[in-house]
Amino acid sequence: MRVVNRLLALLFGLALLGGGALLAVEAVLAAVGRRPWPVRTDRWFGPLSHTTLGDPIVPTIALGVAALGLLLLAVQVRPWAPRLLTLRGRTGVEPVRWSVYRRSVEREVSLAVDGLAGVTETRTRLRGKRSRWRLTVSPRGRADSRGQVREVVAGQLDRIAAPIPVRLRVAMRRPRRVA
Amino acid sequence: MDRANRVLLAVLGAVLLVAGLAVGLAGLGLVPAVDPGTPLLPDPVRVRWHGWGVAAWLVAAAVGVLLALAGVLLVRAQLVAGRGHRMPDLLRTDPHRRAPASPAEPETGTGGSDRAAPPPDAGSRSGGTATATLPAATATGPGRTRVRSAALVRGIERDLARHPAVRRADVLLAGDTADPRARVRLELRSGADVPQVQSYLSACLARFAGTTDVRPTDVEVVVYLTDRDQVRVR
Repeated sequence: MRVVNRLLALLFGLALLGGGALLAVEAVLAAVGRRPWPVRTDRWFGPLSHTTLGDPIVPTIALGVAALGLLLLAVQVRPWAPRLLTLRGRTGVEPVRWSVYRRSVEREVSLAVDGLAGVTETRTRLRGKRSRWRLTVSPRGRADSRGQVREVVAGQLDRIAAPIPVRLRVAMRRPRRVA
Repeated sequence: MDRANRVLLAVLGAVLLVAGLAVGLAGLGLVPAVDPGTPLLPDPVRVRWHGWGVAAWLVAAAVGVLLALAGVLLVRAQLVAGRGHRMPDLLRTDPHRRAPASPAEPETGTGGSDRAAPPPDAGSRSGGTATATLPAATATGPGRTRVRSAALVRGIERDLARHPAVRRADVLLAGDTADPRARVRLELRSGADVPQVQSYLSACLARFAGTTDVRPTDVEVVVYLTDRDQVRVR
């Protein structure tokens, strides 16, 4: 989403740049009494003067714009998964702040859990606000592997220097049947 | 940047929503105060615009320039990494040399070399330092060494990369020499012991401070765990 946002902002910036430059050029030409360039005035002036608010095209476009605005607003306002999460720092007076990319932790935990015998296809979901981690691990395997999974995850969290405590939930999924 | 983009796009979305709803509802005749038969560009507006004469066009041109400028700033902000300004080069004065006799003496920097300050008597022995090449009249002035901040960054990056768990280290030294700030991105190999790397970074910072006398007042480290170098057996 961050990349999409960046692209949208880039697009908006280019639109502002293009529109602003066009407006400035047209306005200066009009002020000095020259012919309009590059867009002729009658191309947009006439339709705007004759089209009324009640013409079907106007509410259609306007409601389309409103729907686009609602979508944009909803996407921006809904909570996003954090990109970075805080790590446990070393105790001391060093002015060092540690954080880690969330996705890399998820991948690391999944890999470690998949290393257990009889456990596969682990999905890991890490959420939380900065230093309060909430981790959901859902591997495919027998229910009695839960304890081992917990142990492995705890070891990984300790190795990664996750802040203590981490709310951990292990949801075992049924192993696939082998035909 | 991400937060700013999010706010900008949320505001843009809200504006589009409100404007679209207002025009749409007015067009459907659901707003009693507005007649759906009103042209998009009503006559009173046109008459008033023409009444303002050339001034209206000049104001429009100014608005256009401002919009274009805002567009340029927005595009630039998306394309340029906003990690702060790089710290300026370090200028160190040799404390063992006497103060200059005259304040008009020329600066005796090494012209961008990455070498550290020479020992007090190095000029007379090696002949390779900047102080040694000075005329006798200025040799009594304080020797100055310029250390490029890029060299400092390379130094600390190499030191960090010596740890076996560190696959790659990117460092940005920002701020000024009195208040330096460091932004570090550490790419760690899968299975790395982060507390161990934390200790190693502390040792690196201590070495860095001991060598350069630069003590970052704020260090931000972002860790990325990667399995890129791991051999996968399938």
